[in-house]
Amino acid sequence: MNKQQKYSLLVEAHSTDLYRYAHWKCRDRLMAEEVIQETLLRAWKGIDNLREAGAAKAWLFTIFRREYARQFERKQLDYSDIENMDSIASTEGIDASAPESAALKKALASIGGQYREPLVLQVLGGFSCDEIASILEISASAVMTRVFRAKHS
Amino acid sequence: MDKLTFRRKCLEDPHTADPEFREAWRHDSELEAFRQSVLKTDDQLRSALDVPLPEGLAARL
Repeated sequence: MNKQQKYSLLVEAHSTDLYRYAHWKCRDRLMAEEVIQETLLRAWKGIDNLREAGAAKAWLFTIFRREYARQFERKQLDYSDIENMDSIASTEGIDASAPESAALKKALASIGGQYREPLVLQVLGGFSCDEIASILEISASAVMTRVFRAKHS
Repeated sequence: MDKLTFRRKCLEDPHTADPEFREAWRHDSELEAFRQSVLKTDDQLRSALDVPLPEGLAARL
């Protein structure tokens, strides 16, 4: 398989999950797309270093997080986690016929980012605790504790 | 595995491949009911977290 084929498979398989995660991370559609573009550019440049196909998704999400941090520093965005989450919870993606979804979104908005992020990676990304630990660069036990607290709250 | 440990493990990861965890819910209907309720909540969370994909996203990437 050549580089182009490998890259196409990577994008095809993971771009949807990556966009959903990016949306939650960036809280802005345009910024999410911008960071994804940069992420994919870096993925293209580094794809030859990717040895295990099974690790591709976690690798891509890790690149995304680093790129997000880089852009965040560059733009020095005014960051207010709870306020922005509240605005998302109240304006986007809520199906009026699904009050449970709305309530859960609001609950998610009320928990801290350090608890929400591993939960989003587990539930939306389908990652294991070890993969989340690798993406977030924290220990697996810290991931488990945060996921537990997020769900418990 | 005691019930408290099971509940904690289940909230952390209801899909865990831990054989002790699997044995516990297979042989205890109360634990299995708890696991099912966690799985249901995870499904609801997944729906709540889902966001509509913008049109033409794949082409732009």
